[in-house]
Amino acid sequence: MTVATAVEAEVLLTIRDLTAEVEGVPILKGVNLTVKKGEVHAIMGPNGSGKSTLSKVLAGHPDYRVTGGEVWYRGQDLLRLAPEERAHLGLFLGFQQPVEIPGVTNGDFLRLAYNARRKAQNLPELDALDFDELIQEKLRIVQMDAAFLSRSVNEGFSGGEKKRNEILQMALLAPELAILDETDSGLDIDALRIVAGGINQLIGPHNGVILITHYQRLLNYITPQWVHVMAQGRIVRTGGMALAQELEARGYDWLLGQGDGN
Amino acid sequence: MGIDSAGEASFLAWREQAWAQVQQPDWPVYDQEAWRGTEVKPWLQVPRRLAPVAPVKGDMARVPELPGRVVVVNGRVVAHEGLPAAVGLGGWRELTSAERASLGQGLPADGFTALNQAAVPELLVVRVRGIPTHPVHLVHYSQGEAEPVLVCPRAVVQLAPGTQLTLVTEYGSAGAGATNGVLELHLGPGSRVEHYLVQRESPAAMHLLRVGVHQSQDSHYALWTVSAGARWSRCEVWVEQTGAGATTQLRGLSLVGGKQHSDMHSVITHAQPRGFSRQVHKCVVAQQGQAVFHGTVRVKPAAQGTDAGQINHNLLLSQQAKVDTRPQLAIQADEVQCKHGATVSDLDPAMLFYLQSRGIDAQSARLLLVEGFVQELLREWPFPTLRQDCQTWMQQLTQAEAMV
Repeated sequence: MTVATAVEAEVLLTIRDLTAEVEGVPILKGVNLTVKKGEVHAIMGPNGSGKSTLSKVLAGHPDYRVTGGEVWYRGQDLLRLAPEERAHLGLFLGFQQPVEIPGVTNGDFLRLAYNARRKAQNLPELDALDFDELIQEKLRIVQMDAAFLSRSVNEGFSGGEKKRNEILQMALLAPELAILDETDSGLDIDALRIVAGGINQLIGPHNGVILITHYQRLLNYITPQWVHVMAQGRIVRTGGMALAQELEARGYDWLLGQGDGN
Repeated sequence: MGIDSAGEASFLAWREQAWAQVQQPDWPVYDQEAWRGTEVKPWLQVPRRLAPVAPVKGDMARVPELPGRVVVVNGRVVAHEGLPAAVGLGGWRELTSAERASLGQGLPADGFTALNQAAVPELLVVRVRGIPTHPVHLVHYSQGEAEPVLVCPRAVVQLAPGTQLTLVTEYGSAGAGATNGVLELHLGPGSRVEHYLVQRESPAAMHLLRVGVHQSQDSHYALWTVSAGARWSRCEVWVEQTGAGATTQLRGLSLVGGKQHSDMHSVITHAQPRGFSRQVHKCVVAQQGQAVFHGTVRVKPAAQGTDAGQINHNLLLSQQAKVDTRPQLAIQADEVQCKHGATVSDLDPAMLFYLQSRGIDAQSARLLLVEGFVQELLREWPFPTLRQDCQTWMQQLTQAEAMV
């Protein structure tokens, strides 16, 4: 990966034949995927197909063991990096179930996270005052009240508030690659609009987004260039928006036989 | 200074009385049940010399937020300054005979209490007559020369009816000394005390402190503790609500690492109607540290309408870290509301991963979670310098842990 041709420079993420297991059970059985700058990929598929596992493996969750394949991210061997190093390189995972952290205020958490990335980029850290100005601006994107900053991280947040808090973190950290794991699940229509708006603000020529979603409805707001279907630990089909619409009409059953022997 | 009444005949007689007790062959050194989980042996193994009166070294334990202070070195007052007008200092001489008779009341009648009485160099009396303008900082320090010393400080705080006090007591040391301290507070009717207690003895030290609290009618006593130092420590808090409608709050924190042993032992006795008490104690235990929490709430037959609650939360940072927790209720009245409980947990891997996935390194994430665990208690300390000290101690616990 040292050869930087004009085409390769556009590539953010390359996944080759990735296999992984959790507690000895193989979940990913050979995933291949390439994400370039400026691209939005949707990964769809039934429950248990390995979508969430893929996102956690990419973020470096310690419970998941990679058993084969490779992942290159911005020219680095991603699988060798600690979770925080992946974050410093601009990889962001939007959690399906954001974690509650009692006693740690959201504001402190956000500032630590932001400054950790600044430090990794050799940029000066922001003090409380400057950070406050920045976060106020980001809060508006997700229409969250500043009161959320003084509450413990995600503690007592509604489902929709937790997801908006994920998008707030994403907006703040401005990742090069955002992997959003069912960020749309459990949202009412207003929250879905806000979340989709936050994601759309991030999308640009320098960023890539992987949307993991069970349903097509998020794709009414965000248009991916690529739609992939995962089944039984592999990507079994890749297409454009037409594929998402076909899935909405026909369900997943017609694709499920294609997971094995591919 | 008007404090030193060490030469008084009645004071010497009071001490002699305790010497006589200590020397009786059947005098109990300690109550085995009350000391379950904590070894007494370390106390008995090392021969100790009573600490001599020592000069103050340096400008010890100065907290900028606490201008009014009394410095006690090896059990004797060596300096005091900036005390509020509503607070008076005195010694044995200033105690009424009734007050003298009440010394040691409510504390265990065992070898440790007797030894303190027998060896206390002087008695410090703090008398509150009104509503002080600022807190009183009581700094206890023990220092030995080459050999291990025994220090037996004792202070009595008397609050007149309707008065208030914010009291900060610190215990620190240099070297391998042993402290066997007693602190007694008498709260007059309707009086209020906010008490902050810091145990920051040197890593080689041993520390036993008995706090006896007597609460008259409608008095309020709130105690925040941080126990961070000493290789062996035990803090005993004995609260007795002797008047109706009294309220008590105990909010403690034990920070335990290395090979430290740290014991929090509390007994709240509701003896009169309509008493209220709440206790929250948290232990953070790292490395091979051992923490003990033994908290008892007693409700006597007359204490109808008591409302008591007690909870102990423990966070273990290593496989070797241990905690022994025993929340206890002993209820002899019918019309009461009492609840208690305890939890023990490790750092949650899901929380750690969440923080790391946001770019916060493992070490900082651990510290953040420990801070989060103690936050509800620590944020109540109104003294930034002491909060910062706690921060440093927590940092040491999580750092040392990462190296194991």
